[in-house]
Amino acid sequence: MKSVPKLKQLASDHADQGLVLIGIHSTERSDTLEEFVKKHGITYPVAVDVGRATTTRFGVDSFPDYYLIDRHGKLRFADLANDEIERAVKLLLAEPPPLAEVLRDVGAKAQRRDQRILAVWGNEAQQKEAAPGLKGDRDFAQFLRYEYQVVNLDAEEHAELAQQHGVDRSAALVAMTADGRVLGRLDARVNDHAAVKAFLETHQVPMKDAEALWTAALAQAERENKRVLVHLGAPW
Amino acid sequence: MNISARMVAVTALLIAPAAAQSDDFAREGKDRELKDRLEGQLSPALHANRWMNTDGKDLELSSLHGKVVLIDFWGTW
Repeated sequence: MKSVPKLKQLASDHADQGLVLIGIHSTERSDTLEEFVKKHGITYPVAVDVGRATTTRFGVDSFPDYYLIDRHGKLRFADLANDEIERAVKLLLAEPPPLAEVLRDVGAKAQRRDQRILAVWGNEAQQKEAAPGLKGDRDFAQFLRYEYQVVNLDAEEHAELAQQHGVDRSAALVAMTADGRVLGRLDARVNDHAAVKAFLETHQVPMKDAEALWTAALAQAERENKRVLVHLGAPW
Repeated sequence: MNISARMVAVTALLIAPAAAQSDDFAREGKDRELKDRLEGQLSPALHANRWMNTDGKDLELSSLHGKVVLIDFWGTW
């Protein structure tokens, strides 16, 4: 039996790649479960399945049974052999998440940090070819980090989105707002750093004039009979 | 896609056997009828009488899209 410590180790080793471990305790009575969970230091989610409805629905016929679900919610392995768990987990972790999830995460980050999104379109070979365009000095690296959330996309895998972005099968850069509105596209000279830098500077979030912001806030506060809370911050 | 390629694709779909596993991973379980049918489909939902270690919230598989979920079924008959 794959012991709980080994499973916990696997879960923590791969948590940042998106592995989630769930226990389902099948029972007729749930009174001793608290002790069991505490004794084994189980901190991951545990479902108590009194009466075995879920256990039966999954076709479980002995304990323990291991099931693996991929990033698209598909059940890929039902009752996997103990020794295969790690290999199967690694296989599924290597698969990319659904595009919607990727864009949602990237969009949420860009929203929070007041950034744009940069989609770097191209297959693996094209991504390598385009890489020099995004390589610059330290100031540029900082600028890119502050101003953009970068996501790499393959037009063959995401044909519909590629079409929306006006991208065909060649390498391209697309700048978008945090909520996904396309601002501009660069399809020629994507490996030309000067061209890329100019493109990114054109589409970055405009610098806000501190004084103008302050004056506007004061005026609005006066109209609405409120205070102004000043948050001094930086992108890092 | 040209006509002949499309025809080949359709033909392949019609004659492919309903094999559940086309990978090289070992499975367990004496009775695999239901398990093999479930594999490759969207996972059944999880229903629990209660959840532990979730701050009292019900956990739904649909909220875990994008993640890889390893489920450990255990208990006593």
